[in-house]
Amino acid sequence: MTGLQPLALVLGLIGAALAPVGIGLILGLDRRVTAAMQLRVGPPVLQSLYDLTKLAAKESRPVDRVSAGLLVAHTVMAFGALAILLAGGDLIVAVLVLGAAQVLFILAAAAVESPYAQLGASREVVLLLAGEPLLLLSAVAYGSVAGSFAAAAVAAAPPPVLALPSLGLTLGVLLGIALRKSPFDLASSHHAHQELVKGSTTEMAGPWLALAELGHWFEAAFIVAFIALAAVQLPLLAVALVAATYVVVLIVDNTFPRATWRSALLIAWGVGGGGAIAALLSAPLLGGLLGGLLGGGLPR
Amino acid sequence: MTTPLGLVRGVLDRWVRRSRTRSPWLVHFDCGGCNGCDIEILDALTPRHSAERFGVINVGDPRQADVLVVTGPANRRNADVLRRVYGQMGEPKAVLAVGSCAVHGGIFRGAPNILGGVGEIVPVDAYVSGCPPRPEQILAGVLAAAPLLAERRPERAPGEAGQGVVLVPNEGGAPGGRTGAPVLRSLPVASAGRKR
Repeated sequence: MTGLQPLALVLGLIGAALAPVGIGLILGLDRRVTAAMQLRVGPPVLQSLYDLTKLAAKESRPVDRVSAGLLVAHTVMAFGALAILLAGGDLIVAVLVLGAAQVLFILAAAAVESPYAQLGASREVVLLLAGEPLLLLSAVAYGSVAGSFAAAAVAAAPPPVLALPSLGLTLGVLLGIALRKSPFDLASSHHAHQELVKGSTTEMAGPWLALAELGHWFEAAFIVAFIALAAVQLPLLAVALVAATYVVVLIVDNTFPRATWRSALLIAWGVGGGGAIAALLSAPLLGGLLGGLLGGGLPR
Repeated sequence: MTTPLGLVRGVLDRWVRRSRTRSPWLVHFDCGGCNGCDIEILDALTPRHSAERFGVINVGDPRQADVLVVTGPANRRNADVLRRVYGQMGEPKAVLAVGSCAVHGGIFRGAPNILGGVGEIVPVDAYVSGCPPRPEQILAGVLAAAPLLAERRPERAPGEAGQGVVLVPNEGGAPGGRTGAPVLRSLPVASAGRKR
């Protein structure tokens, strides 16, 4: 791991601290677009921020002490993963810290007695199983383009998504997982067509639910930043990439609202994994071609 | 109050009040009516009525909810459960009685196992009458209760009139009749189902 500059670290921490506002607005837009697809009006764009504030300001109800501690750890770890990524730190470390954060949330959900929370926790495990290998493979693909796993080096290298276009599939699947989208028996976002009530947060209420939500927002911010990293040298392309991935996820979410966790696993590993492996196999070929075109060449 | 700290506190306070009134999450409790009102509540939550535009979400956990939506008459069998569900909700919270049975006992009133309206058991903030009320009127009732969520209120006893007790009359409720806009009307004092 390359040493982090103190300035980069401070910027990363500030960026991570501001991330929830951005993610809140993105989720608000998401709910409006989803509503429009279902011919509804939809809530105000600020709705997700209203929800989080309301939960945080609500009277605290006692929660399981173990679960509460794990929830705090989950949010702190997710924040840390995002800060490492934004500070230009090691991608593999950031991905593993994020994985640890997710495991902490699963433990927080499984620590209570409610069978619904247990079921929710086991579904979160499936999501982790579907998403974490893809995240690691994508990080490796980024690294193969940049010749280094440091996020700062990837940002300075030719955009990985141009070098390895099939990576787009993987990133789309990753975003869908981070937002807890389609499979209706896994899903736990707030959309009306996902009828199953969020299992993993059954025993959380008020400020504790706000904390769990905040942790998930950090995770979502991590994935959005991770996707943007694939084209960060061309800011317009990066924004377009995030927007395009998001729109595809929304369309899939609204078109297949009855996909199950099995199909989720199949799609994640089939489409996402296929995309990542194709990217890795084609890395020397396409990457070299593009590197030659851009004049930079690939450090090998 | 014009100190920077006071200014920040004022802005923050306004934001919290705004957030609380614009995010009423519902938990639905059926005391045991005919389920007509329950179907209308589900109807109010469908895309057709788009309750989400008001921030309304149906949750399954009383501890995560802000508004307790009760249907059916209060009865000896589950009065205790209703009390417990209400007690599990954190402040700020409000109660909405939906349908004639929940308002005053309805057709079941006077039966030996019936205690009257749900106001006998928990403090009701808004009443939506009708048998069953229309989805629009249920949503109007939720919106009438939402301003009460702006701040934590002191403990309230059952039957005590909340500061904004309203009645949402069933306008044009006849089958095939025109749906009039729901009219909000203040209700004088502790109203429904107090007297036997």
